[in-house]
Amino acid sequence: MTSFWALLRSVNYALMIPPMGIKQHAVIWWTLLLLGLPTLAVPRPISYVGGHTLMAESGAMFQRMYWHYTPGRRYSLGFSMRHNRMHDETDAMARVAYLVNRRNTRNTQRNLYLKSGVALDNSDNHFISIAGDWESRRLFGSAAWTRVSDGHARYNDLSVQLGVAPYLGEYGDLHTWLMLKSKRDYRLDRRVTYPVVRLFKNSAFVEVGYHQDARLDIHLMYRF
Amino acid sequence: MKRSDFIALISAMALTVLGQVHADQKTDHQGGHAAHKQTDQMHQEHAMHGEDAQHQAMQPTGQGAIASDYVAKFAGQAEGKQVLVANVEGMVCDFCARGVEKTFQKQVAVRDIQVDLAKGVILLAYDSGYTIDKQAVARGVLDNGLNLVGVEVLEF
Repeated sequence: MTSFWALLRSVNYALMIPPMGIKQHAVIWWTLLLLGLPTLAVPRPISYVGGHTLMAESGAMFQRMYWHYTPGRRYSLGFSMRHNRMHDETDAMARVAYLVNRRNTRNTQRNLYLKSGVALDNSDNHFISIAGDWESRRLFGSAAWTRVSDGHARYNDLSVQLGVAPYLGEYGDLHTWLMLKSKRDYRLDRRVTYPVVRLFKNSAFVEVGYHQDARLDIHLMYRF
Repeated sequence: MKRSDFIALISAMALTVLGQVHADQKTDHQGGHAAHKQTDQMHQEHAMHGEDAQHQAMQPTGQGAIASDYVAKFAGQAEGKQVLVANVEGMVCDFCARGVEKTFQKQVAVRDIQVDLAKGVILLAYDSGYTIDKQAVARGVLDNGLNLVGVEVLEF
């Protein structure tokens, strides 16, 4: 088992070889993801019952691959591999998300989640989070409060994301969201707010944000 | 947060999940009850018109609030079949709808599926004569985090 994690860390470390720039990292991560999957998916931490979700995220602080499975309507179980760029460390984490409350209307959906994760080899590396979102076909808003202990420091984070759909696509169309995202950047030790474009079509989801200091923030998802 | 606090939190979440499973089963029952109620109502309506079949043939237009041209169009693609029209709440994005499609695609009796985001409607085509399990439909909708608020079966 130890060698398995060592292998995964080696693979991850190999992707972080210093001469590589962020573009090369991104190309490798996304190529691996795209090659391994028939297409790309879902903003919520809980899918439909029996559904799998695979995500890849790359930001200034972390790079992460995250898979979760939804065995019941209210919860999902997952596993993630994350590389902490600040400390140049990679960890494997078991994760759970629980839907506390959902309210549907004809044109809106509102959710409240509890999320948590703990590193498999270091219980001091963990997080808990309370997240909520509200969405109509035109507007989107989400907020999450997270208490993080990454083995080096303990801190709270509040992230907020607001968005508007410039047009209403039908089922199967390309859907576009223009968003603003705000979160704490611990590399810069301050809050950063930046524009994000979210695109999704069929089972594929791509979200790209850019901040001159926080650099590219990329999020891909695929649900199957 | 201390490790023991973290373990306590995870345990609490696990207990809540277990408690919710019971709540979901209860909701299932209620959802099924809603479907039954809908079916019973249809039976009564049919009985009033002297109809004794479970899903009596209906004209695609002018019958029921949710029968419309687009249902007829879908039915045209599924000629000789019966169409279940499900009105749902909470289907606000393509991903929600995609989950619905994946869920019902797994049900072998479902011949065709159409989702309308704007109307909040799911159309499911079945072979004529097939007895549609409305409780299974209600469960499928609920499994996608949506609420089923109306069911109607039309034959074409």
